[in-house]
Amino acid sequence: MTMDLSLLHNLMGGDQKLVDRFVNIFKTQVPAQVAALPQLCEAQDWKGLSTALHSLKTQFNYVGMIAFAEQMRSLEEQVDDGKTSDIALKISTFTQEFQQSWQP
Amino acid sequence: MEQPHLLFIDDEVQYSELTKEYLEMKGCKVVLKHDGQAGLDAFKAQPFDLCVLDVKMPKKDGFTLAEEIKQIDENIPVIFLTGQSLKEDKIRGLMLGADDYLTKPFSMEELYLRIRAILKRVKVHEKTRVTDLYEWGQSRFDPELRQLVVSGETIKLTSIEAKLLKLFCEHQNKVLTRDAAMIGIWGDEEHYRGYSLNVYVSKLRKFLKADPAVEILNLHGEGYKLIFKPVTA
Repeated sequence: MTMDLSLLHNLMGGDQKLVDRFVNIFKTQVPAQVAALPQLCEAQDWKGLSTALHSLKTQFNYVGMIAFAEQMRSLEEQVDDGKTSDIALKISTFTQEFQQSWQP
Repeated sequence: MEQPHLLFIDDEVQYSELTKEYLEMKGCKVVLKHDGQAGLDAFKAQPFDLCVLDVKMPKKDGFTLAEEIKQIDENIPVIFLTGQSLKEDKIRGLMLGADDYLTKPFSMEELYLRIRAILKRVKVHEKTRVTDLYEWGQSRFDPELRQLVVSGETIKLTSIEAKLLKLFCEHQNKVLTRDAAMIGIWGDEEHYRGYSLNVYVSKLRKFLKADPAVEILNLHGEGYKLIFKPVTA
């Protein structure tokens, strides 16, 4: 999945330096945040998981990775509704999908 | 406009760090924290002109934080950052006295413009407001700013402390019944917070202790009376 930085450009008033810095930090931190999701599931830390999904959702939105953002939104909603029986499986599927498509 | 001092609390580290830089570039002084509890600690540690609060955060969500912040300073302007399409968030934020809200993802420039507009509005209000100031002995009390100065020391009162002291000032040298005090502070719904009322009266007594010209008396079975005493040099 590729990034679409047009939204970020708009939000940052067209400041290319800020956009570049955001993307660099994104590339460093988001894979680690995604990799940490299964541990939160395993620990049944639902509040922590919801917060992590919420944060990832916005970050994916910023860089135009809308399909990932939508998955985060759906998972976050499911966790917030307390429907956690199949959440570990869904998180696992997502992390694999992310790792396969991720091109730093 | 003087350099505005902002408290910005958002757990999305990347974007918030860059937003902080942007706001600083525009002339604001910004303290950035990434969770609600750290934000509250920062708010208690120093004065701010405005708070920007994310709603969903670890340790303490933005709404709870806003309630606690407003307990300390009822008049502090607050902008909430909310998730997309969360109407309930917006309604709840406005009911908590939010001055504005922005939907994520938000534009840095838009945030800056909204901050500037709110601070301008606050400044105009401060310039035009007509306040009842109460002065006695070595003390001065400004109910709107919730500021009590006793023997040269400035004390920032909580919202409830200020409401109670204002009631005392309005009833000076007269009986303030417990019922009138509780209704004046909490309204009819929470009429039975007797224990809390005692706590707040004790706190006010402690604040006023340094001024020998004033005392809050207990009137058994009736309530309280704020009296002014002649002070001999």
